[in-house]
Amino acid sequence: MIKRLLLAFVRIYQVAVSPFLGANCRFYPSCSAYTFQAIDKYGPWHGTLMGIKRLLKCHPFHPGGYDPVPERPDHPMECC
Amino acid sequence: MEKRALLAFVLSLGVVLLWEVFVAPRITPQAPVEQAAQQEAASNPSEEPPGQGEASPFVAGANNAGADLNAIPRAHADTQPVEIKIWEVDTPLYTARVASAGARLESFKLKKHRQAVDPDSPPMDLIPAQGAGYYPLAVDFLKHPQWSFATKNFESPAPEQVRINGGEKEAVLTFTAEEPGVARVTKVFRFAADTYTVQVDVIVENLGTEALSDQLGISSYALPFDANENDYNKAHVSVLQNGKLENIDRKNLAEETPVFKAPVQWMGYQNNYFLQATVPLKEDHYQLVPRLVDENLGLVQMVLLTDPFELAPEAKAVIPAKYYFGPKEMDHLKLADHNLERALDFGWFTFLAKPLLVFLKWLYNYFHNYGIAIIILTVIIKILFWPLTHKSYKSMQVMKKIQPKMAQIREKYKDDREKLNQELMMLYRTYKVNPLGGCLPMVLQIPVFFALYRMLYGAIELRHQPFWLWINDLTAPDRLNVGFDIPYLGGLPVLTLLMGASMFIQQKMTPTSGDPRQEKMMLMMPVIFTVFFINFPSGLVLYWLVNNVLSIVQQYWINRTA
Repeated sequence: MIKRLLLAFVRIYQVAVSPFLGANCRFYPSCSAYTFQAIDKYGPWHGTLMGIKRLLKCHPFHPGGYDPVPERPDHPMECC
Repeated sequence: MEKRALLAFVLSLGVVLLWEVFVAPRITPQAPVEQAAQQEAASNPSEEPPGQGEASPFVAGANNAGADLNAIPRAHADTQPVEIKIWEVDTPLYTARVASAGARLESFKLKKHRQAVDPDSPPMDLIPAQGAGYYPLAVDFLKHPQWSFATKNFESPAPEQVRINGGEKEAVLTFTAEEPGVARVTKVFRFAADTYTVQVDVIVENLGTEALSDQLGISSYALPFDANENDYNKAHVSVLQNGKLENIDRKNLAEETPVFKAPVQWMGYQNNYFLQATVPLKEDHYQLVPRLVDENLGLVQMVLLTDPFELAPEAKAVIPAKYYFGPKEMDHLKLADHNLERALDFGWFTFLAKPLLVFLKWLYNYFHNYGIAIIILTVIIKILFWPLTHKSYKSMQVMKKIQPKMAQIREKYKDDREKLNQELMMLYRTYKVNPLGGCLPMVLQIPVFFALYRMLYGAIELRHQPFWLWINDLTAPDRLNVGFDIPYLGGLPVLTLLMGASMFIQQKMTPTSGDPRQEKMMLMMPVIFTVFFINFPSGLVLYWLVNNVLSIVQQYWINRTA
């Protein structure tokens, strides 16, 4: 339930808000796509935390680059 | 493809607008407070010594929420016209007039705020212009309506002209009326020179030989403060209770009349700019009732309803309250105390918007023009974000050098977006560049923008404040009168068009990622934004224009030095 709500929230951002802001993300997949996948894969709690961690990395002093959501690790929080 | 992009924009515009309407916290419907009988640990009033105002005369164990709201009259028109005397109180902030009929406020004209931009426009009057039936501070005895204290002629020894300025702190005017041998009502008005609050103590005395049991309603009235109000600035009722602000719009009020049980910090009628509020000064034995009297006019009656009381012969009861009639200027709300400052609500980002407003006011003290203050504020925000934007702009220059390689990759993987993006990211990594600034700087800027948006929309400090040339009100859309009427607009939105143009130039100067679909979308943006901003306050358009111009300058400077 919460998971679906969060996923819908990310989707709404992608469709409705993101086009207004232009492309910004230094990563592939983008922060919102990453968050979406992470929540989908690791659930609302860990997925959201992973998304926030990723967002905090996404600034000009981090090189960015290709950074997919990892396959299920033993400890989801240590994935990134 | 273009059609789809356009459709995407139209849809997102719709969602953003819907979001503004539904999610932006302006008006939340409030369920009426359930009425419940409450046992009170009040003392027995008959044992109290007579003449002590502070002793509680309220009936012990009374069902204090069971009042019949229909017992409170909706209007207080004079049945027989009588000679009405007027007392006028003049302060540096306002001129208030108290009518002898009911000792009610007949007008409350603000000296520092006009009704319209035009300097000749009449001053704001916070008393409803609907005639004597709706003068605030009407006192009703619910069980003895025939006494008609709401319209009865009151007497006062005070001079008919009272002027207070900074020197004297307050003026006290005492009005009395009585029903011979039965009851006397005294209203003590305290006007102060430096605040918009007026304290009014209502004192009821039993002049009879038997106990007087009754219930008092003190009615205040308010109309929407703006004759042509729009959806962004609609007057609504607000109640601050237990530190929580409830906003009730008129539609909800029309369906049900809520009852707020004591203690309540204040109840008021407000739009973005003005507030008329009732602040009870007691902890208990009252409830507050906001009632919609006329839905079309938006006329609201705000009743301070006491619990049923029983007064022994010669005993007195005092109901003290403060009333705020004034602008929602931050400093004045603070000065008025009682958490009236909470009326100033800029939504989610109030915590950012208030400091921005304080800073804007500070800048205004030096430049005496809020337009200039907005420009300087924009420059400062730009400087704060400079390190973040500068770094990404610089890397855009390196991007130009690896453009051929990017084109190669693009050609190679043109059918596989996934692989294409991966390879591009690898390339960026190898050359230690990245064309994009990242999500974090952007996410950090969103609250600042929204806070500014709400603040420029809702701060009375900017109301009727000119900038330059045709912009005579920073809270109104910018329209240059070109001599003829432009359909839907009335005038030419010059500043908004300049803003769109600046956005277009900025995008032309920015190196793109090379994705043609995205490029097309980005070129649509200036058009979308121009349409979007066309009815925004010119202060906000000014902010966005200056922000764009600064970005262009920054870009130009980097292009030259690179």
